[in-house]
Formats: sequence, structure tokens, C-alpha cells
Amino acid sequence: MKEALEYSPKILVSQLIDLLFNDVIESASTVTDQSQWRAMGMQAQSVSGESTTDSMVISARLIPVLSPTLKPFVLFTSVSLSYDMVDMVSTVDPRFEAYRIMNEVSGRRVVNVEMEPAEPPLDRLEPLVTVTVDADAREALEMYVKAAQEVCGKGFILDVAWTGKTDVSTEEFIRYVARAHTRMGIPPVILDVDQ
Amino acid sequence: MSLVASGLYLDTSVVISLIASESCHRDVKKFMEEAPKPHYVSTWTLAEALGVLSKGIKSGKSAPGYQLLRKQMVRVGSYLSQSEEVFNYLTERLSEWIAINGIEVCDDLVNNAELKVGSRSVKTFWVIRNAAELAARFGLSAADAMHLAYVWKLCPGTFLTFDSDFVRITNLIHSFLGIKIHVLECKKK
Repeated sequence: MKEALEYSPKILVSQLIDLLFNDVIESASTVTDQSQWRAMGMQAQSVSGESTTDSMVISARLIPVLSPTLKPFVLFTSVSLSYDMVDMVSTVDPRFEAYRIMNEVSGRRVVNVEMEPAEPPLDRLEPLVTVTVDADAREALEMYVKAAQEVCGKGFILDVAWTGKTDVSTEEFIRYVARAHTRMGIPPVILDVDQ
Repeated sequence: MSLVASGLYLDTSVVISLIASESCHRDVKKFMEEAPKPHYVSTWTLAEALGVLSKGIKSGKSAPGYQLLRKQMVRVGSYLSQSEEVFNYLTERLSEWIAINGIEVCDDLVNNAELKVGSRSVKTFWVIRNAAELAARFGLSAADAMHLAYVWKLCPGTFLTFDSDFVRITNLIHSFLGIKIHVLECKKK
């Protein structure tokens, strides 16, 4: 673990989470304030460091992903993220899964995740999780189509938003969205078969 | 399950059940997984499916996908007419469905048949000429006869359908054309 972290005394919260996921560390927390972090290894080794300014922004954005019960801007403060907690969060909160999938597809360009209860007729597939990526529309929609297959059957609907310019026509937008809907298994309309 | 022919031709009712039905699609999927490939549809299947899906949306049936599209379109800020929107959305849905499921679309033979009408022979599509013959021989609707015409000459295999109208002529069709028809039952949950 030491080797893994040694070259990166300043670390983004998202990188810390990656280390957690990849079995490099067992738990992570902030120490006293949010400028310091500490991670525990599998054999109880302890490594600490300074969080970068960026990490504060990212941590604020990740709060709803990791735990909706945490207060804003206090991610990790006196809270230890163990695997049990991650598993629990990923089971009960689709935001976590949506974040994981889109972050992988986008090359860590997720900047926000929001969830809302879906209204009828989408409520049968609810909830709707909107992931915003740091990209223009075309690139974001290509990511959306790629991610859609993995979302199928996971109990939520994925939507995508982007921070950049809207560089697609309405027709192109519809085509991207239609492909993603098909991959997620969302019926365009519900019909009886005996038509 | 005993399927005599090499492929499986999907009637529109089967395509609809896979794309837009909650009650039977698991049964169909299971059947198709065990059935020999290729699995075919025709351009006629696609035209019929587009019509059925569009009619469903426009008649106000529960439309999760289309409603989500409408919600998402706020992000592009410009809209098409409803007919353009539905056409673009549904054609891409079908196209993607075909691609991800490895479904093949039969080629039509174009301008290669003649149908004697009045005092002259009219150039026509093969499938329309054959459908006319099958409709007359077996008392089928033109729409059903079109599907059968595809299986007869253009994409041979077992004909898979939910349409119970085919039950009465299953043996007849098999005897005359060598086509096996498998009529699925939908046990609604």
C-alpha cells in the first residue's frame, strides 16, 4: 500500500475511493479537517496525506453518491468508509452504481450525480439517476450509450447531462437516446401482444 | 421443441412482445435462445412493428421510453413535430434492437416478379406477388400472407408467431409449402 500511495501525498478523494475499491486500502477518513486524509491498509498500516483543493470540490459532489445521510462538505469527516459501508451504499443507492459505471466509461469525468423519483409511467423503472459528465453533448451521449448496457436490470434508469456545448442536432440526440433506451431495456410503449 | 428448418422468422407479434410487452417477453426470449439461428425479420415486420408501436404511443398508452425521451429533450432545447420525433425514435429503437440481438433482415427481391392484372403483366415485388397467391390459397389476410411469403421464398425457416389465426392452417401450410409454423401462447401474468 505504501508504494501505491507514496508518490501521491496529495490525493483526490476520487483516487482515494479507487484505492478503496481496488483492495489497496481498507478504510479511509479525513483527519480533524478536510485538508488531511488517512487510510488504513489491510494489515492495519496507516498512511496519511494532504487533500488537494480539488478534492474538496469533488468530495462535495460525491456526497450524494456515497451517502445521502452525510451533511454537505463533511465527507469522510469522522466517518470511516469500510467495504461493508460501500457494499451497503451500492446496494441501496443507485447513485453509487451510476457514478461507478459512468466514471469508468467517461475516464473519471463525472462531475455530478442526482437522483429523482420517476413519475408515471417511468415509475415502474424508477428511480431516474442523472449523471453529469465534463464533456460536450456528443461525447457525453456516446458515453451514455456505452454505459446503458451495464445499467440494464440494475433497478434504475440512467440519464446523462453535460457541462460543455450542445453539439448535436435534435435528430442525432434522439438517435443516441433511443440506442441507450434499447440497451437499458426500457420499453418505448407497453402493449399487449395480441395486437 | 422441434424445429425442422434452419432459421427462425419472427412475426411482428413476436417482435412487439420482445420490445413492448411485460407479460410474455421472457417466454419468447427463452424460446429464441433455444431455437436455431439465424433469426430473421423482414422489412414488412419492421413496417408493421413501427405502425403498432407508433399507434400505441399516439393513442396514449403507457409509454415509458417515449416519455423519458420527451423529458430528456429539454437538454437540446429544440423539438421536432411529434410524428418526426416518434419516427426517429422508433426506427432507431428497432435498428438498435436488431443490432444487439444479432437479428438478420431478409433482403427483398426488387422488381423481379410479374403479376397478371387485366390485359398486361405488372412488374411487382416478389413478395407481393407471392403474398397475393398465398392469401388466395389459404384465406389469409394480406398482412399475414406477406410474412408467409417471406418465409416461403426469401428467408426460409420456422415461422414464429403469437397470432392464433395461423393455428387452423398450420398443417396445411406445412403440407403445401414445407413451412413449419410455431404459434406461441402468451400466458399473461
